[in-house]
Amino acid sequence: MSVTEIVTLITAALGVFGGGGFFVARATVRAARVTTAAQEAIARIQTEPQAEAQRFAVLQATVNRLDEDNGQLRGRVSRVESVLRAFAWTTDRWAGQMHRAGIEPEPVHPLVDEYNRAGV
Amino acid sequence: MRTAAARWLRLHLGRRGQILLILGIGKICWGVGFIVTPQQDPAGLDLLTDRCSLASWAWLWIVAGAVTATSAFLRIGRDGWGFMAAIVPPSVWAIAYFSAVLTGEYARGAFVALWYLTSHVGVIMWASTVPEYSVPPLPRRARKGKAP
Repeated sequence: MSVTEIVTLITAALGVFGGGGFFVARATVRAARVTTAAQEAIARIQTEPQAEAQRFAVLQATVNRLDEDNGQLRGRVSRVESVLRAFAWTTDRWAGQMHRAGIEPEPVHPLVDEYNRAGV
Repeated sequence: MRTAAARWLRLHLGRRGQILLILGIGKICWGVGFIVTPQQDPAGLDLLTDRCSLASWAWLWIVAGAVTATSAFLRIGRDGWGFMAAIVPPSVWAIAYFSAVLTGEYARGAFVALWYLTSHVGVIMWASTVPEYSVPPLPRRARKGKAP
């Protein structure tokens, strides 16, 4: 075997072993990285609907509470309106009574006057 | 029972482990073959047989095969040694055949060397790039009801 042949052979051996070993080591690291990323993505996909459902449950609870508050307020406003209407009816009766007795009643409050004129 | 064992093996091996186990068993068989049925004066392997007998070189196949088969059970990232061990024997054989071509002893050696470099080393290098994951099954689509 000549020197040239030996050098060629050693170069080829270094190329095959070095190149192959380097490629395999790098490919293994990359494959491991891709695997980790894929497993994380799968875990995320599997847990996301649960997180979504939890967020939706919080939203649903808030909506329910606001609905309840709203209903209570409507009831109270309705009762106040009824009492106010009854009170206006009563004062009207009293004003009529005073007119018939020849007494001029005090002028109404500006807000009441405005309501009588504008309706609001 | 048999299916349970197969399922356990497949779960523990994964994609990379399967090919590592196959390659490892193949290498061990090839090495044992050299010892059990010795080959007289194999053509194109003078670089190896000048150093020691082919029965001794067979241990390279057996040891590399054992390392490869053992690495099949390691986690991804640590199984790189298995792939490295797997490419050693075919590379040695390819270089031996290449040397036989250089010295003019065995003209067919170039093709044998290329065959070792592609069908063995190349396949092992490709297998080392395979990631280890399985895509989860697609969610079942909502089916149309039959009731009107």
